[in-house]
Amino acid sequence: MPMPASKEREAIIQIVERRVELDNRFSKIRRLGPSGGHGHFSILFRAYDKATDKDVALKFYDPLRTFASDAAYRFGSFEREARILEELSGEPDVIGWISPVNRFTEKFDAGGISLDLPFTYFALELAETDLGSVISAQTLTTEDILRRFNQMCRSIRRFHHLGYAHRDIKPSNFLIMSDGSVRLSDFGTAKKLNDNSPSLSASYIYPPGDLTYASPEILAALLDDEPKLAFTADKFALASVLFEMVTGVVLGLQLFDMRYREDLTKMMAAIKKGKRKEIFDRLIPSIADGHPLPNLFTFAPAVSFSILPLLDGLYKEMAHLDYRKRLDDFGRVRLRIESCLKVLKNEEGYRRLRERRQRAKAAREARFARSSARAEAEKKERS
Amino acid sequence: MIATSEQPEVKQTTPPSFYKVAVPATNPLMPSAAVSLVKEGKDISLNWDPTTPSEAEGIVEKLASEALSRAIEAVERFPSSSRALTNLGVVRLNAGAISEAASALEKALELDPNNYVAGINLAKVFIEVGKYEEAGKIYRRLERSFVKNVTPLMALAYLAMRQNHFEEAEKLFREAINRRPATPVPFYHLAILLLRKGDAKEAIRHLRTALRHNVRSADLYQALGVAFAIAGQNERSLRSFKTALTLSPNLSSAVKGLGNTLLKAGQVDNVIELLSAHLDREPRDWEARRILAGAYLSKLRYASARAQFLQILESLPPDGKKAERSSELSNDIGFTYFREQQSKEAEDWFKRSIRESSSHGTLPYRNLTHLYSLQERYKEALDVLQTCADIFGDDEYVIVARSYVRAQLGDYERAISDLERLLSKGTDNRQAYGMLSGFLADVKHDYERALTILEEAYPKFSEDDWLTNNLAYVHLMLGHTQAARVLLERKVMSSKTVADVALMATQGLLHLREGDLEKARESYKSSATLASQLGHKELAVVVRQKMHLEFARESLGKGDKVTALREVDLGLGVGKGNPNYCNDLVLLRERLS
Repeated sequence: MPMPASKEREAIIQIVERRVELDNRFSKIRRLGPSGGHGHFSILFRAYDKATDKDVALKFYDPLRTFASDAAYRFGSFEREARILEELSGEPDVIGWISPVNRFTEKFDAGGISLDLPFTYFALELAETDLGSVISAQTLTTEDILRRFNQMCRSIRRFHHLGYAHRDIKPSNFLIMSDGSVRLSDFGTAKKLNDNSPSLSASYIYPPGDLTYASPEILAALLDDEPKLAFTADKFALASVLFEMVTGVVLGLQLFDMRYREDLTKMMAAIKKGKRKEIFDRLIPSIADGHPLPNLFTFAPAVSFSILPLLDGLYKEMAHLDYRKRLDDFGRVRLRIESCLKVLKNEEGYRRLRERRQRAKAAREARFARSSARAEAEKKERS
Repeated sequence: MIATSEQPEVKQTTPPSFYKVAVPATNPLMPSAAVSLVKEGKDISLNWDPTTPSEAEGIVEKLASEALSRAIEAVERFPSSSRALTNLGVVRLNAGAISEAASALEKALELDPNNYVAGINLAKVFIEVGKYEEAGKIYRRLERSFVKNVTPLMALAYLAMRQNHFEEAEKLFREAINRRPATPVPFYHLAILLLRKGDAKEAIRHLRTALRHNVRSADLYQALGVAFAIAGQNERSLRSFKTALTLSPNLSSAVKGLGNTLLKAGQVDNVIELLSAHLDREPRDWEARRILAGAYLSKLRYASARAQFLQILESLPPDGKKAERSSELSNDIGFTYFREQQSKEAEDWFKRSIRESSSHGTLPYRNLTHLYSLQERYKEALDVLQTCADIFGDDEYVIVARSYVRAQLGDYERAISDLERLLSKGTDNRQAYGMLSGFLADVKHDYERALTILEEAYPKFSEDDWLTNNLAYVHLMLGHTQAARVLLERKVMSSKTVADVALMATQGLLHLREGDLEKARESYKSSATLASQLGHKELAVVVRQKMHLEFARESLGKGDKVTALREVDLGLGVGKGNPNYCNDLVLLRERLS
């Protein structure tokens, strides 16, 4: 059974659910899932939007987290997400923006003390589910994988084209809409790389995003030296998602064995600030050589066997541990996916062709065997 | 002159030459562990290294904890998802939480019995905890269900290897190779099995095939370096290790492999340079420190070697083998003191070695016995041997050494009876034959029995100079001059060994028996000179003593009592020498006067 919300979170959810209307626009406010989503710093609700006559999602910053030690960074991320969404409004393949950040306060009793809690939220398109759930449910067909991955690449390509790096790409951040399309979401850690706005917090020492999907250059904190590496890191994460869609297994966990851990620790120990990139560039080839990416077919994936080598090659090129060798061109990625789709479409025909070829080869060999036997017999007769 | 082969030298705990190899990390679902190829004599055995999660720090620690919390969260979100539970199991496995990993993976399999990844990871967990039977069951089931996938077959082969069913493992790996897998793993494992069998040539062929699958694998170059080293192709071994280090500069097993091979190739200075630099980076690598100590020993830099041994001793991890390792290291430290002729310190460390682990091995007992024998502390030597025999039983070494010590204490009867008992059981200990024939000939003057013993030994050890010498000597004492000449003419003397001293002396006796007194004296004198040159001054005295004894006997045989008496006096005047020869001279003098 899914875990119920904690007592405090439940109280917050109930406060919001008790609101008949928000901003004279959103009504019928109900939590998404048993605990309003799984965000550590946000709570998700479904609501009816009078303006669009559609059900929408409301994303709240968890007011109880206002007092957390890294609240400034987290709240900054929340606001930044709203801002980016607004900026990307109308872009295809990105979750749609509905309304900007709104605020209200409510009384909250905690241990006999009454507090005025600030509630901050914005509205966005309501999705059906997310890719993480779909992968866990094991309902993806081979064609689904290809088409959805194509859309995902398209969304990231657009996003990069606008100058943004997402920096937290993982299955749960790709939302599946009711029409089956895939939309990119969760821009809390996204960053526009061509503006000079300072980082949200200099005190937050760890790299952004989910580290399970992080590329080696992210783990080595190279973004401080070279922020543009976030683009290549996004591609690594995207390849990890492809790996997960095909195998159901998180790539980071497979790579992250004891030796990789040791190599990373040694690498981190060797890296000094200011010389990071230089040292990293020297060390990463040997780490990449020592940790070849696992083959997809090792995991006995339930995808069509005919395209497995193509997919294997694609994911390996996109997830190369050495960022300098990573496949960088989304155009080529699209072509490779289209090739896979073609092979898949013609799989039956291809299978028949292969069988025909095998039969012909067997017949040729049998003919050859017969003629050799005949020649041998004649030779014996003559002698 | 009769002679017994040299007493066993004081020895360091020769760490059997070992090379460590690790499976190239190409298939995360294959069970794997680093393995040390340990070469003791001609035998090569496989020692599996336990995999223990290393201490994670900083971002690596955060990565581990984040992966775990995400995996738990996914399981909470999708409690009926077999995949989510599998990922949780993998995270737990990576963190070394074996039982939690097993429980998550078992739940994943309950939800979806066809979950390949869960099954294969669960089998991996079972291997980690030594439940080979259960692991085998899972692999066989997966092998039937996923016929296109070669991993279960390879894993079964690996399992057989871990259970020391090497033939079965080899058969299964060959089967896996026949399926043309796109992975170097079966080639690598097959090569390791072949190396164990001593078939280095075939192992090299398979490792080269493996390298075609993964041309930039430092692990494979490392294994190739080991294979070349075992094949005795040092140059190629060095090249392979260097390639491994180019690909992965921090691969410590390659540094140690390179060090070992350089040591074998006699490039000791390079070993010292290489390992000193490596130890600056990884000061806790005690295996490297041990190789470095070996390098210092071969340069006769005993104090430097001792410093390395002491550092290892201080930093030994408190695991189940600490006492044994301390014992070995204490013995080695004792050895360095012994070589520097610091007998007191050597004695203390040999004793400490025994104290650290009295039942680890006989080497410290042997070394202490030898030390006491050199100091003529025979009673203490006998006590040490008795303690050794109480713990390890009467092995050949103990019997031979005890016979030697008893003989030095004058108890020839027991020494002879012990040795006879040992020989009657059947042994290949040439020292036992040499010593017994010596006692029978020189002490008991029972040349017939000595001849029987030596004729039994000679076909087994026809190349042994000591036994050839003794046989020739006994023949001469029995008057079989021709037989002695044939034996001695077969021997080419290099004039550089202690055995040559004995052979030259016996040659002198042969000349004496043949009536060529001048040549006889010349041979004896050359023998004594060689003994002195080799630093065995006491042996030179024995040779001269023996010369005078035999010349006295020869003169007496001819009836020339005056010359005989003069020779006896000269023999008694050379010094302490051999107590038996001294006895003979005294008896002869009594007879003459």
